[in-house]
Amino acid sequence: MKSERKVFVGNRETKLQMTSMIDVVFLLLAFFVITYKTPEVEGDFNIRMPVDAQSQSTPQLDDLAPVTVALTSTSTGELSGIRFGEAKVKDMAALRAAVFQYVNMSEASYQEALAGGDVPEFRDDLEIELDCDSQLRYRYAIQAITAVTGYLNGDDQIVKMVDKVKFTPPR
Amino acid sequence: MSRRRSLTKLKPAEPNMTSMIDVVFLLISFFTLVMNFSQAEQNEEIALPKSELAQPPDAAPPEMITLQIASDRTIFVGNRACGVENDDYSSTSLAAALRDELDVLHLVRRVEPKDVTIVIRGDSDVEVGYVQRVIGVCQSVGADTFTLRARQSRD
Repeated sequence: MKSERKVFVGNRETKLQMTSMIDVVFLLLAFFVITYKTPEVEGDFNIRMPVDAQSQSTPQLDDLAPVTVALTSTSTGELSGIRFGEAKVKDMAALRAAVFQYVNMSEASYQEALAGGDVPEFRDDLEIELDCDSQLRYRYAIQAITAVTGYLNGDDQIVKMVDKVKFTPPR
Repeated sequence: MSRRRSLTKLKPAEPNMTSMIDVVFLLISFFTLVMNFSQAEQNEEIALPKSELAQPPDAAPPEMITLQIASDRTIFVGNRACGVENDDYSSTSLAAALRDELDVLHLVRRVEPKDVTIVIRGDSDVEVGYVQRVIGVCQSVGADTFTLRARQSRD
Protein backbone atom coordinates (compact mmCIF):
# COMPACT_ATOMS: atom_id res chain seq x y z
CA MET A 1 0.00 0.00 0.00
CA LYS A 2 2.67 2.34 1.04
CA SER A 3 4.83 1.76 -2.00
CA GLU A 4 1.88 2.11 -4.42
CA ARG A 5 0.98 5.48 -3.04
CA LYS A 6 4.52 6.61 -3.47
CA VAL A 7 4.22 6.21 -7.22
CA PHE A 8 1.26 8.50 -7.56
CA VAL A 9 1.80 11.05 -4.89
CA GLY A 10 5.49 11.55 -4.67
CA ASN A 11 7.14 14.39 -6.50
CA ARG A 12 8.97 11.98 -8.77
CA GLU A 13 7.91 11.75 -12.43
CA THR A 14 5.15 9.22 -13.02
CA LYS A 15 6.25 6.48 -15.39
CA LEU A 16 4.00 4.82 -17.94
CA GLN A 17 4.28 1.09 -18.14
CA MET A 18 5.37 0.77 -21.77
CA THR A 19 6.16 -2.93 -21.96
CA SER A 20 2.71 -4.30 -22.72
CA MET A 21 1.91 -1.57 -25.23
CA ILE A 22 5.13 -2.23 -27.09
CA ASP A 23 4.29 -5.92 -27.10
CA VAL A 24 0.96 -5.28 -28.73
CA VAL A 25 2.36 -2.78 -31.17
CA PHE A 26 5.04 -5.19 -32.29
CA LEU A 27 2.45 -7.92 -32.68
CA LEU A 28 0.42 -5.61 -34.92
CA LEU A 29 3.49 -4.69 -36.89
CA ALA A 30 4.45 -8.34 -37.36
CA PHE A 31 0.91 -9.14 -38.52
CA PHE A 32 0.91 -6.43 -41.15
CA VAL A 33 4.39 -7.22 -42.36
CA ILE A 34 3.57 -10.90 -42.77
CA THR A 35 0.22 -10.41 -44.50
CA TYR A 36 1.57 -7.70 -46.78
CA LYS A 37 1.46 -8.64 -50.43
CA THR A 38 2.83 -6.37 -53.09
CA PRO A 39 -0.14 -5.53 -55.25
CA GLU A 40 0.24 -6.79 -58.79
CA VAL A 41 0.16 -4.15 -61.45
CA GLU A 42 -2.77 -4.72 -63.75
CA GLY A 43 -3.76 -3.01 -66.93
CA ASP A 44 -6.66 -3.00 -69.31
CA PHE A 45 -7.25 -3.60 -72.99
CA ASN A 46 -10.37 -1.96 -74.27
CA ILE A 47 -12.49 -3.81 -76.73
CA ARG A 48 -15.63 -2.35 -78.11
CA MET A 49 -18.38 -4.68 -79.20
CA PRO A 50 -21.64 -2.85 -79.85
CA VAL A 51 -24.75 -4.99 -79.61
CA ASP A 52 -25.82 -4.14 -83.16
CA ALA A 53 -22.37 -4.89 -84.56
CA GLN A 54 -23.83 -6.57 -87.63
CA SER A 55 -25.78 -3.53 -88.77
CA GLN A 56 -22.91 -1.17 -88.03
CA SER A 57 -20.38 -3.15 -89.98
CA THR A 58 -21.79 -2.03 -93.32
CA PRO A 59 -18.66 -0.54 -94.84
CA GLN A 60 -18.59 3.20 -95.22
CA LEU A 61 -16.47 4.94 -97.76
CA ASP A 62 -13.94 6.40 -95.37
CA ASP A 63 -13.68 3.27 -93.24
CA LEU A 64 -10.91 0.76 -93.53
CA ALA A 65 -12.18 -2.78 -93.55
CA PRO A 66 -11.25 -4.62 -90.35
CA VAL A 67 -8.33 -6.96 -90.70
CA THR A 68 -8.88 -10.42 -89.32
CA VAL A 69 -6.27 -12.01 -87.12
CA ALA A 70 -7.04 -15.71 -86.94
CA LEU A 71 -5.67 -17.90 -84.16
CA THR A 72 -6.04 -21.62 -84.52
CA SER A 73 -5.57 -24.05 -81.71
CA THR A 74 -4.74 -27.67 -81.06
CA SER A 75 -7.29 -29.89 -79.33
CA THR A 76 -5.66 -29.11 -75.97
CA GLY A 77 -6.05 -25.37 -76.46
CA GLU A 78 -2.45 -24.58 -77.35
CA LEU A 79 -1.71 -22.17 -80.15
CA SER A 80 -1.09 -23.88 -83.50
CA GLY A 81 -1.18 -21.10 -86.06
CA ILE A 82 -1.60 -17.37 -86.59
CA ARG A 83 -2.86 -15.62 -89.69
CA PHE A 84 -2.87 -11.88 -90.32
CA GLY A 85 -5.43 -11.28 -93.01
CA GLU A 86 -4.61 -13.98 -95.52
CA ALA A 87 -0.94 -14.27 -94.67
CA LYS A 88 0.41 -16.83 -92.24
CA VAL A 89 2.73 -15.45 -89.59
CA LYS A 90 5.17 -17.43 -87.52
CA ASP A 91 4.71 -16.09 -84.01
CA MET A 92 3.50 -13.10 -82.00
CA ALA A 93 6.60 -11.06 -82.84
CA ALA A 94 5.99 -11.63 -86.54
CA LEU A 95 2.34 -10.67 -86.05
CA ARG A 96 3.44 -7.43 -84.41
CA ALA A 97 5.83 -6.76 -87.28
CA ALA A 98 3.06 -7.39 -89.80
CA VAL A 99 0.71 -4.96 -88.03
CA PHE A 100 3.51 -2.42 -87.75
CA GLN A 101 4.12 -2.64 -91.47
CA TYR A 102 0.41 -2.40 -92.20
CA VAL A 103 -0.08 0.63 -89.95
CA ASN A 104 2.87 2.45 -91.41
CA MET A 105 1.77 1.64 -94.91
CA SER A 106 -1.62 3.12 -94.27
CA GLU A 107 0.06 6.09 -92.58
CA ALA A 108 1.98 6.67 -95.81
CA SER A 109 -1.13 6.29 -97.92
CA TYR A 110 -2.89 8.66 -95.52
CA GLN A 111 -0.28 11.34 -96.15
CA GLU A 112 -0.48 10.65 -99.84
CA ALA A 113 -4.26 10.96 -99.80
CA LEU A 114 -4.03 14.21 -97.83
CA ALA A 115 -1.63 15.61 -100.39
CA GLY A 116 -3.91 14.56 -103.20
CA GLY A 117 -6.99 16.00 -101.47
CA ASP A 118 -8.69 12.63 -101.16
CA VAL A 119 -10.72 11.26 -98.30
CA PRO A 120 -8.07 10.39 -95.75
CA GLU A 121 -7.75 6.96 -94.29
CA PHE A 122 -7.22 7.55 -90.63
CA ARG A 123 -4.74 5.40 -88.90
CA ASP A 124 -7.14 5.23 -85.95
CA ASP A 125 -9.66 3.60 -88.21
CA LEU A 126 -7.68 0.42 -88.40
CA GLU A 127 -9.66 -2.28 -86.76
CA ILE A 128 -8.51 -5.74 -85.88
CA GLU A 129 -10.96 -8.56 -85.61
CA LEU A 130 -9.81 -11.53 -83.59
CA ASP A 131 -11.03 -14.85 -84.90
CA CYS A 132 -10.02 -17.48 -82.36
CA ASP A 133 -10.79 -21.17 -82.23
CA SER A 134 -13.16 -21.55 -79.33
CA GLN A 135 -11.04 -23.99 -77.31
CA LEU A 136 -7.94 -21.77 -77.53
CA ARG A 137 -6.67 -20.64 -74.18
CA TYR A 138 -7.41 -17.05 -73.24
CA ARG A 139 -3.75 -16.17 -72.69
CA TYR A 140 -3.03 -16.52 -76.42
CA ALA A 141 -5.85 -14.12 -77.23
CA ILE A 142 -4.33 -11.61 -74.82
CA GLN A 143 -0.90 -12.17 -76.39
CA ALA A 144 -2.37 -11.47 -79.81
CA ILE A 145 -4.16 -8.36 -78.55
CA THR A 146 -0.87 -7.24 -76.99
CA ALA A 147 0.95 -7.83 -80.26
CA VAL A 148 -1.49 -5.82 -82.37
CA THR A 149 -2.22 -2.91 -80.01
CA GLY A 150 1.32 -1.65 -79.79
CA TYR A 151 4.86 -2.14 -78.63
CA LEU A 152 7.32 -0.83 -76.10
CA ASN A 153 9.98 1.46 -77.46
CA GLY A 154 13.47 1.81 -76.06
CA ASP A 155 12.33 4.09 -73.24
CA ASP A 156 9.65 1.63 -72.11
CA GLN A 157 6.98 3.90 -73.53
CA ILE A 158 4.00 2.29 -75.21
CA VAL A 159 3.63 3.10 -78.88
CA LYS A 160 0.06 2.51 -79.99
CA MET A 161 -0.63 0.84 -83.28
CA VAL A 162 -4.24 -0.30 -83.28
CA ASP A 163 -6.87 0.97 -80.89
CA LYS A 164 -9.89 -0.98 -82.02
CA VAL A 165 -9.92 -4.67 -81.35
CA LYS A 166 -12.92 -6.90 -81.30
CA PHE A 167 -13.77 -10.56 -81.30
CA THR A 168 -15.68 -12.25 -84.05
CA PRO A 169 -19.02 -13.61 -82.85
CA PRO A 170 -18.62 -17.07 -81.30
CA ARG A 171 -19.23 -19.96 -83.65
CA MET B 1 35.90 7.47 -13.82
CA SER B 2 34.19 8.86 -10.80
CA ARG B 3 31.37 10.15 -12.98
CA ARG B 4 30.55 6.73 -14.34
CA ARG B 5 30.43 5.25 -10.92
CA SER B 6 28.02 7.87 -9.63
CA LEU B 7 25.68 7.33 -12.62
CA THR B 8 25.48 3.58 -12.19
CA LYS B 9 24.81 4.05 -8.52
CA LEU B 10 21.83 6.33 -9.01
CA LYS B 11 19.29 4.22 -10.92
CA PRO B 12 19.04 1.53 -13.60
CA ALA B 13 19.48 2.82 -17.16
CA GLU B 14 16.20 3.29 -19.03
CA PRO B 15 16.28 3.34 -22.81
CA ASN B 16 14.39 6.17 -24.42
CA MET B 17 11.52 4.51 -26.24
CA THR B 18 9.84 7.53 -27.76
CA SER B 19 11.50 7.65 -31.15
CA MET B 20 11.28 3.90 -31.62
CA ILE B 21 7.56 3.92 -30.89
CA ASP B 22 7.17 6.80 -33.35
CA VAL B 23 8.78 4.78 -36.09
CA VAL B 24 6.85 1.63 -35.27
CA PHE B 25 3.55 3.48 -35.37
CA LEU B 26 4.49 5.00 -38.69
CA LEU B 27 5.21 1.54 -40.06
CA ILE B 28 1.90 0.23 -38.76
CA SER B 29 -0.09 3.04 -40.30
CA PHE B 30 1.74 2.52 -43.61
CA PHE B 31 0.90 -1.17 -43.75
CA THR B 32 -2.71 -0.61 -42.72
CA LEU B 33 -3.24 1.92 -45.48
CA VAL B 34 -1.49 -0.10 -48.17
CA MET B 35 -3.34 -3.26 -47.26
CA ASN B 36 -6.79 -1.74 -47.59
CA PHE B 37 -6.20 -0.50 -51.10
CA SER B 38 -4.39 -3.39 -52.67
CA GLN B 39 -6.98 -6.10 -52.23
CA ALA B 40 -10.00 -4.21 -53.43
CA GLU B 41 -11.02 -6.37 -56.34
CA GLN B 42 -8.41 -9.00 -56.87
CA ASN B 43 -9.35 -12.62 -56.73
CA GLU B 44 -6.74 -15.12 -55.61
CA GLU B 45 -8.12 -17.94 -57.75
CA ILE B 46 -7.52 -16.18 -61.02
CA ALA B 47 -4.15 -16.15 -62.73
CA LEU B 48 -4.43 -13.27 -65.15
CA PRO B 49 -2.70 -13.58 -68.51
CA LYS B 50 0.55 -11.65 -68.74
CA SER B 51 1.16 -8.76 -71.07
CA GLU B 52 3.96 -6.23 -71.30
CA LEU B 53 1.55 -3.55 -72.46
CA ALA B 54 -0.79 -3.83 -69.50
CA GLN B 55 -0.44 -0.53 -67.74
CA PRO B 56 -2.75 0.84 -65.10
CA PRO B 57 -5.24 3.19 -66.76
CA ASP B 58 -4.96 6.91 -66.05
CA ALA B 59 -8.54 7.04 -64.86
CA ALA B 60 -10.81 4.20 -63.92
CA PRO B 61 -14.06 4.00 -65.89
CA PRO B 62 -16.78 5.79 -63.94
CA GLU B 63 -19.12 2.83 -63.68
CA MET B 64 -17.94 -0.71 -63.94
CA ILE B 65 -18.83 -4.27 -63.14
CA THR B 66 -16.00 -6.73 -62.68
CA LEU B 67 -16.42 -10.29 -63.89
CA GLN B 68 -13.92 -12.84 -62.66
CA ILE B 69 -13.75 -15.91 -64.88
CA ALA B 70 -12.00 -18.79 -63.13
CA SER B 71 -10.31 -21.61 -65.03
CA ASP B 72 -13.16 -23.99 -64.08
CA ARG B 73 -15.56 -21.62 -65.91
CA THR B 74 -17.15 -20.25 -62.75
CA ILE B 75 -17.84 -16.56 -63.06
CA PHE B 76 -17.85 -14.31 -60.04
CA VAL B 77 -19.88 -11.14 -60.08
CA GLY B 78 -18.90 -9.66 -56.76
CA ASN B 79 -19.21 -12.68 -54.48
CA ARG B 80 -21.92 -14.32 -56.51
CA ALA B 81 -20.88 -17.39 -58.47
CA CYS B 82 -22.64 -17.95 -61.76
CA GLY B 83 -22.02 -19.28 -65.24
CA VAL B 84 -23.10 -19.45 -68.85
CA GLU B 85 -25.11 -22.67 -68.84
CA ASN B 86 -26.66 -22.62 -72.28
CA ASP B 87 -26.76 -20.73 -75.54
CA ASP B 88 -29.90 -18.81 -74.65
CA TYR B 89 -27.84 -16.01 -73.18
CA SER B 90 -30.64 -14.11 -71.46
CA SER B 91 -31.65 -17.14 -69.37
CA THR B 92 -28.21 -17.86 -67.90
CA SER B 93 -27.36 -17.26 -64.26
CA LEU B 94 -24.72 -14.75 -65.36
CA ALA B 95 -27.40 -12.70 -67.14
CA ALA B 96 -29.52 -12.76 -63.97
CA ALA B 97 -26.58 -11.60 -61.84
CA LEU B 98 -25.70 -8.87 -64.33
CA ARG B 99 -29.29 -7.65 -64.49
CA ASP B 100 -29.32 -7.37 -60.68
CA GLU B 101 -26.08 -5.38 -60.72
CA LEU B 102 -27.31 -3.12 -63.51
CA ASP B 103 -30.62 -2.57 -61.72
CA VAL B 104 -28.78 -1.46 -58.61
CA LEU B 105 -26.56 0.88 -60.62
CA HIS B 106 -29.60 2.28 -62.38
CA LEU B 107 -31.56 2.79 -59.16
CA VAL B 108 -28.74 4.28 -57.15
CA ARG B 109 -26.83 6.27 -59.75
CA ARG B 110 -29.13 6.50 -62.76
CA VAL B 111 -26.66 4.75 -65.04
CA GLU B 112 -27.83 3.12 -68.24
CA PRO B 113 -26.47 -0.36 -69.05
CA LYS B 114 -24.63 0.89 -72.12
CA ASP B 115 -22.63 3.33 -69.99
CA VAL B 116 -21.32 0.58 -67.75
CA THR B 117 -17.89 -0.84 -68.48
CA ILE B 118 -17.59 -4.59 -68.02
CA VAL B 119 -14.14 -5.45 -66.70
CA ILE B 120 -13.25 -9.02 -67.56
CA ARG B 121 -10.63 -10.65 -65.38
CA GLY B 122 -10.26 -13.99 -67.08
CA ASP B 123 -7.94 -16.79 -66.04
CA SER B 124 -5.22 -17.42 -68.61
CA ASP B 125 -6.31 -21.05 -69.02
CA VAL B 126 -9.98 -20.47 -69.74
CA GLU B 127 -11.16 -20.98 -73.33
CA VAL B 128 -11.55 -17.96 -75.58
CA GLY B 129 -14.88 -19.34 -76.75
CA TYR B 130 -16.18 -19.15 -73.21
CA VAL B 131 -15.02 -15.56 -72.81
CA GLN B 132 -16.79 -14.75 -76.08
CA ARG B 133 -19.97 -16.29 -74.74
CA VAL B 134 -19.61 -14.23 -71.56
CA ILE B 135 -19.34 -11.14 -73.76
CA GLY B 136 -22.45 -12.31 -75.59
CA VAL B 137 -24.33 -12.55 -72.30
CA CYS B 138 -23.24 -9.02 -71.39
CA GLN B 139 -24.45 -7.80 -74.77
CA SER B 140 -27.80 -9.51 -74.20
CA VAL B 141 -28.34 -7.38 -71.10
CA GLY B 142 -27.34 -4.19 -72.88
CA ALA B 143 -23.67 -3.66 -71.98
CA ASP B 144 -21.29 -3.09 -74.86
CA THR B 145 -18.09 -1.62 -73.45
CA PHE B 146 -15.56 -4.15 -72.31
CA THR B 147 -12.05 -4.13 -71.03
CA LEU B 148 -9.87 -7.20 -70.70
CA ARG B 149 -7.56 -7.11 -67.74
CA ALA B 150 -4.03 -8.48 -67.82
CA ARG B 151 -1.11 -8.57 -65.47
CA GLN B 152 1.90 -6.45 -66.25
CA SER B 153 4.98 -8.46 -67.01
CA ARG B 154 8.13 -7.68 -68.92
CA ASP B 155 8.98 -11.16 -70.19
